[in-house]
Amino acid sequence: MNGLALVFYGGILLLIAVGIWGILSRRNLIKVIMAITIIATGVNLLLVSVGYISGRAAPIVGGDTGIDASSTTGSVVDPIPQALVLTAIVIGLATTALALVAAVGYYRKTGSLELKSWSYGLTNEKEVKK
Amino acid sequence: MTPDPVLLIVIPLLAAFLTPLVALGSKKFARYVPLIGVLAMGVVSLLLLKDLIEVQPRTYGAYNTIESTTGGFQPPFGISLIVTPLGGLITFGMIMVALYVLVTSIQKKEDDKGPWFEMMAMMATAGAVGMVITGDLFNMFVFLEITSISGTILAALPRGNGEKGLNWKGAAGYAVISALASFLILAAIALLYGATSTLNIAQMAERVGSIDTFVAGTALLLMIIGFGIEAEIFPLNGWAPEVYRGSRWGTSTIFSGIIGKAGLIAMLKVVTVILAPALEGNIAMDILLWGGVITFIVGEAAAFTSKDLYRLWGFSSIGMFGLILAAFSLGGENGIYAAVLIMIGHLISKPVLFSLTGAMRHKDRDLPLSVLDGLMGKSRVTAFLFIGAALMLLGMPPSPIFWGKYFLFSGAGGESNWLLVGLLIVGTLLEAGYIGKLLWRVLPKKEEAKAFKLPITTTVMALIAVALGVLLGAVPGLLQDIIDLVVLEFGGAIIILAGVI
Repeated sequence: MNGLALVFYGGILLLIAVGIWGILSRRNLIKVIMAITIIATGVNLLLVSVGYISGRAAPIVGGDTGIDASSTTGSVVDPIPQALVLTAIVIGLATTALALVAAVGYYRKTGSLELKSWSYGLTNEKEVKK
Repeated sequence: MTPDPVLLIVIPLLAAFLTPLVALGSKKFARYVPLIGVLAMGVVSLLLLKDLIEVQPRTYGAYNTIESTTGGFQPPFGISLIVTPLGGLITFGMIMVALYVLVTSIQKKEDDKGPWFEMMAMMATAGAVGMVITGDLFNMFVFLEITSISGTILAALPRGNGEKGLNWKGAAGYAVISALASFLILAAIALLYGATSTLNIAQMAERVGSIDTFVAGTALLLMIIGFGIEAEIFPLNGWAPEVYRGSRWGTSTIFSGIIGKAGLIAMLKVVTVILAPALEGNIAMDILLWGGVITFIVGEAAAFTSKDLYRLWGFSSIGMFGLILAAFSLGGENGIYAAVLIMIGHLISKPVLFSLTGAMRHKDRDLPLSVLDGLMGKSRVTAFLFIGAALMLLGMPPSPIFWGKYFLFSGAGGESNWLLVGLLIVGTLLEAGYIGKLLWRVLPKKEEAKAFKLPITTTVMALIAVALGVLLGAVPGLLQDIIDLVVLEFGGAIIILAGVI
């Protein structure tokens, strides 16, 4: 593994670990959403690094890069992950926006951003009796 | 004539996006747009199913598939859709659940703010059907996102019986947890793409032999956690009770019958086709089997102790998801027969139970079990339908679930897996316990009980559903053709799918 790959994969692991730690240790909805976007960044980096091939050009055909469409094989990095990561970023934006809307609604309804009744099972039964 | 499977995704999306436009003109008519869409989907899906059963195995292997390619790109390029026997059957089932929900909620006068529920129900159906029939792993992620975004909005919609404001509590939990699920699945997809250089599930299945065990194991873990969250598998289902408790019955039905089922089938597809062959021994299927059994027990135990009727049905759905997963993972002819029959029984009985529960108005947000007291005296039709559907869920013959459990016990007993048999008995007893408890409240007549009238659409749809369940339970041979195909599908998934390219 060369130095660049180490930076990539180390960074990915770090980002995902920080995100998971954030989700597990924080009860504040906004902080949980931030932790999820950190995980998303890590996953996007993983996607890009999967398609990276050392020493090759960006997969842009024609223009200033001078890559000929007929001879791209072997000269550019894998373009599919780059297309995927664009899609994933757009989807991530939408889900984050929706989660933030839900957080605002949650705050208006409960007056707090703490996810208290999130545990599994019987904790809500008291509310039912009341 | 075989319709193009892509219609199953185009029609609901078109109907969903047309709905708000039509609502600008007439709010009343806009409610019928999704209904027309879901009827069209039902026809397409029925034709596909008929074609799967009737046409003899064609080009590849021992069972039928119907493929569709998008944009004129032949596989493995472009996105291909593959309707397999299981996919076709589940798609039809999910569409019927959507039809049930849309027909039954058409009379609702309370929420005249707009047809948002109907629109989001169509979006969720489009995403769920896409997850089941897509042949491309990244496309599956996109459909998962469509499903979970519409699921979040569905969970937020108020119940409609005069309740003010949106149910943000359940929605916020689901929004956060489903976003986490999708990114974990995306990470698994990235790992698998890195190892196989393809996103086409069939081509990936061909190349799994060369995957590094560590990568395959990590991908398996991420996929099981990600799809397990969507399929409400214990311990990943902490979000589900709040969604079931706080939202309207239609949302609960969609989560239990459409979104959760799609997550379950997608998980099975990914694990059985790609990941199980990449790992040595039976480890992947064993994880699913015991995860399923534990989910079954925990779900039924939580339902047994639950004091709110919505939460009770929610927990019972969780239990059924676990049971279906366990049956599929047990494998073999018995296991697959059991899984499909239990799934069909659950798809038929749960919408009835949710809709009857939803029809029982109650002034509070919660629905204590006491609303059922003396139901027999209040409305005989409701009581009979309720009892019928509840007994069908438990597996009292004639019910598809009875046959499902029969095959499941034969399968587990045949392998001398007595621990599994014991745990299944415990779960079934818990189930019998809470259903008995509910029937105990329904049966006695109370003189002072105020009469209660079930809306006509609910009556008709519930009657049809219960009659269908009884018919399929009395003559399970009607389903034999399609279930045999599903057995073939799971028997030779890898070899046959690889032939698609």
